[in-house]
Amino acid sequence: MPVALKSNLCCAGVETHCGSKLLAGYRPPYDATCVERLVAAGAVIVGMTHMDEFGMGSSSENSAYGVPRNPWDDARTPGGSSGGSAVAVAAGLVPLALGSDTGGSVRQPASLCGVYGLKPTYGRVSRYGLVAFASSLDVVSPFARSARDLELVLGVISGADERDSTCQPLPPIEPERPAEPRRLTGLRVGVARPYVEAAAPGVRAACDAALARLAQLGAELVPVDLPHTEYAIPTYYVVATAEASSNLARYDGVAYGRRVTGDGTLQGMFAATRDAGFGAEVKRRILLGTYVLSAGYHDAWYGRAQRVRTLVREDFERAFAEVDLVAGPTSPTVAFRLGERAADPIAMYRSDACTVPTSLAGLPALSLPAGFAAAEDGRELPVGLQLVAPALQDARLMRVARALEDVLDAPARRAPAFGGAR
Amino acid sequence: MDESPLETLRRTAALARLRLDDAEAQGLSRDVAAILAHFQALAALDVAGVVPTLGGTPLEDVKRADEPRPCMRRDALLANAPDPRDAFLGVPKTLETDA
Repeated sequence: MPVALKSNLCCAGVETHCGSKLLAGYRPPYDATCVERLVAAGAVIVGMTHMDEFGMGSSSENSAYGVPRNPWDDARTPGGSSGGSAVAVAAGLVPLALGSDTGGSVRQPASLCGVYGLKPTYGRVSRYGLVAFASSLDVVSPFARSARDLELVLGVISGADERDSTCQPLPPIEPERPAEPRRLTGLRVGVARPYVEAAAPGVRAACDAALARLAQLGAELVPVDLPHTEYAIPTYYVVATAEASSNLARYDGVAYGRRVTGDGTLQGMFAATRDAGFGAEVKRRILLGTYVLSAGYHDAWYGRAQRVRTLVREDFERAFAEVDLVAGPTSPTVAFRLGERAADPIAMYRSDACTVPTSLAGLPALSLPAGFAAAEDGRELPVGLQLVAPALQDARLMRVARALEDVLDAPARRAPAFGGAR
Repeated sequence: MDESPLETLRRTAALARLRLDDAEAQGLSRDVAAILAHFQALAALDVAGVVPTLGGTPLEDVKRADEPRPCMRRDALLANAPDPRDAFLGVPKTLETDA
């Protein structure tokens, strides 16, 4: 089966540049665990896909190698940071692609491109060979055109790996095989009020319609509040940039990647290499992360964000005492225009409002093609419904997605730019 | 003495080993100040007594057996180095000597 890889998953001998000039020409001497397992299962790696530099972005525009376009409307973003993998699946170039999801980088582009994307429970898929952005949040995550294909790929790439100390010593994820796969009787679904309120009216309407289908299958819908959701974006951007500033310290021109000599001193070489190699958003995040970790600011920013992260996680724990799944929009809007948010980092960060809370909590979350909503120009664009499960209940997400895909018409529609019928 | 936002940015950039030209430093200084102002919402929350979440999983780190095993080949590791010298990584001289 042909599979495409986000350009931050090491593939031995194949250029893995992470969207950065700093890693231009970098050919890893080893395969990531997920790549090794896919190849051992018979997959053929057909190519590396476009991404925001080191995964830092929500539109795939922060790259040294151009900008990918959404196959539903080529003036719009496919989302990010795993935009290239989402496009490859939406356009039918490959049935499966891997990305990485740190704050929504697989679920949001899956939503904007009308495909399936699943962020497994943190620790369920090895990060060995995934180029690190924010290590406590990064999860290798697949895109597919059906929930069944997600089950297939997760069964291959998940499971214990002693080369990643955060990979849980558990067997691969097994699909649930219910006696009545099209019935969801007894399933309690919490509709995430803050995600719904954050969403544009058309996105909300499409998600409501998909939720109504869940109810028709027998699920019971109840509202859930998740009261700390509004703090999730600042918390995420403090934690993720802090970790990134540390992880990206390795790019100094010594052992691999680009080197710029600078003034001829060692320190001058470090600075000149990083100055020439990193793009603007990566520098912005390294500076933010260095600042929130620096003496005098650590407790007020990083220490506090780690505590608020606990509050976000506890929101979900309280919700899952009452419900089996949490559901809501994946992205507050349909695909936005290329360039629309590029000059405003805060507007771009808000694109992740519905996906970062689950990343902070380490929970499994799936985005499925729920329907369509009209953009401001009237064009119909895909809307994703996000389902979130308790830790380690990844298979529950795929079972519910399988039941839903049989009754929704969105999954069967193909992107018009690649010959699909609308 | 309080630093200006630009001085703070310059100091932070030095810590991060980033060399920024003036225009870049001024733009990033404005961006970072605006982002941090937006993130001030965190300061309003009472987090007294809340245990910090330090990693991605509440489970303990997994340890592997402490036993020798083959490592990656040196020539494969050095193949990406900008300045490989025999078995070493070359960098600019860091000590001034008369020799």
